[in-house]
Amino acid sequence: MTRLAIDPARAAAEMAEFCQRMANAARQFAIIDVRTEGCSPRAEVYRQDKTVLWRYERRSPDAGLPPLVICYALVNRPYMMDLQPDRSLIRGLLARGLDVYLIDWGYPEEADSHLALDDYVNRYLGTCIDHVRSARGVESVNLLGVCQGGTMSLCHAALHPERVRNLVAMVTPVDFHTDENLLSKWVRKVDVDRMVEELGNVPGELLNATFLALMPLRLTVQKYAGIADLAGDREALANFLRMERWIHDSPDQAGTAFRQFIRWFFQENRLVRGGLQIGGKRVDPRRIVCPLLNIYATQDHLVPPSASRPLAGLTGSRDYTAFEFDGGHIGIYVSKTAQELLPRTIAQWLEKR
Amino acid sequence: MPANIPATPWLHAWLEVERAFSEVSMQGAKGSDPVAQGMRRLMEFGNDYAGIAADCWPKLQAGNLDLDGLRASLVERYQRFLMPAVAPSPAAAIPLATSAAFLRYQQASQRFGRQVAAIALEAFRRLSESIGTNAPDATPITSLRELHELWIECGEAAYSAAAHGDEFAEAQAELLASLVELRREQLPRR
Repeated sequence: MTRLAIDPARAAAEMAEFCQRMANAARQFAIIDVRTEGCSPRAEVYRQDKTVLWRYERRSPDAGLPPLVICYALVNRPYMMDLQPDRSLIRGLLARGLDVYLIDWGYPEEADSHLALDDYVNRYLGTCIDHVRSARGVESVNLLGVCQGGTMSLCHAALHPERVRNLVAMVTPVDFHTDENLLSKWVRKVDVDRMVEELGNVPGELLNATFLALMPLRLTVQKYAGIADLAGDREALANFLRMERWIHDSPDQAGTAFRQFIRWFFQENRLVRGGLQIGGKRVDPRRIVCPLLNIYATQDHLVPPSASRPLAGLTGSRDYTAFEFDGGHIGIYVSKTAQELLPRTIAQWLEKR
Repeated sequence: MPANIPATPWLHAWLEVERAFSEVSMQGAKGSDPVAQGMRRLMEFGNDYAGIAADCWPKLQAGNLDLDGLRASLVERYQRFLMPAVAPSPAAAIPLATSAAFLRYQQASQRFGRQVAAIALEAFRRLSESIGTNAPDATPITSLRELHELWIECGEAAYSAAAHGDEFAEAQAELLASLVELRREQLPRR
């Protein structure tokens, strides 16, 4: 005896309805246009090679805070920060009077395979920050680093503490060797030198497949079967498609920077264990003395909280705040809860400093 | 759609769904290439759900839907799902058949395949346990969707338990390394 009690007639009706709903969804997908690089008005204010610095148009009263520079990860595209009007961390920050800049690393091509972490952490991030400092007439900026961009922001702040007034780290891996970190367990076994030697740049598709493999059934089969539940709701289908586009919009990774990031952070865990050098200069987290806000997600399958929490006590900052968001790695940007909670938390924290 | 799916009352409708998604995937213009990629994956994985439903179908019609009868198809389907889709094309594989890189790839693929087979069997064991009447939650499963959801839950749990282990990570890394090496043999040196 089992719990299986499926009536054939009911199952036939169920499948017929499923097919009908999926067909409706397909018809909608054919006409929904989700080509977008974000939804909020913005202007390109600086460009160096493929790196572009965007400044967003603020319509609410100025909060009078130093400009906020968002440093996104090299993997995936930064428009996740401004995906659609009702799912936009950037809009939330603008509404609170912040002056928001976003760094877009672009799509590395074969000629960029030599780009190293030094280029990203010191040169591109540095010149973007310098541009903002100069344009806004400020000595230092507020820096918000996202995921891998958070790790890079920590490195920048350690190397150039004078440029960073406050640092917000969002879903940022710090200790790469905690037990819950499945991605790290896999990556530690990879011969990254050989991979980069053979591939040059590392295909974004490969990274994307790896991310999906962390929870393969939930992130594919279950998600796609769930489309049937959205059929008939055009807005929900558009949201789904927008997210789907973002997931599959994975830039290739500049080979040298990728190799360094994998080896130094994932495999050797140098940010925590020590010995990290970027551009020939020692990265000592204790040189980070600015106030720190560490935001992480309790159900993050890519950067588990245990990877982010060790930021506490790692730096020389005496002003450390942790904020736990009840959600996942993507939900922290796009969930309904996040839309109000995250911008408010960040803005209020910055206002006090 | 796999060729061995038997005729069902909803098969025609599902083929229509496939056609519709294929058109979206080919269209590309409205949604851009990343969306087209998503549509292709969607159908790839949508087939899994429809495929499981199709596997159940003849047994449902005969009034004897029991889990043991689904064992082979569920396990085989999950193994196929977990194996990487990347592999040398048959045409390229022929001249490579005796190369060291190809042999390494074959060995790596077999090693990873053993991991995957164990995961699929464990997933089925968990499903059987959950469906057994002695399970604490004895709520009847009355729809294919519920059965599929439970299968996903069990499959994910079995996968997670194995994927955190060294052997899985090593087998996966070796498979990746062998594919990279194979690619080097297939392509002219840069």
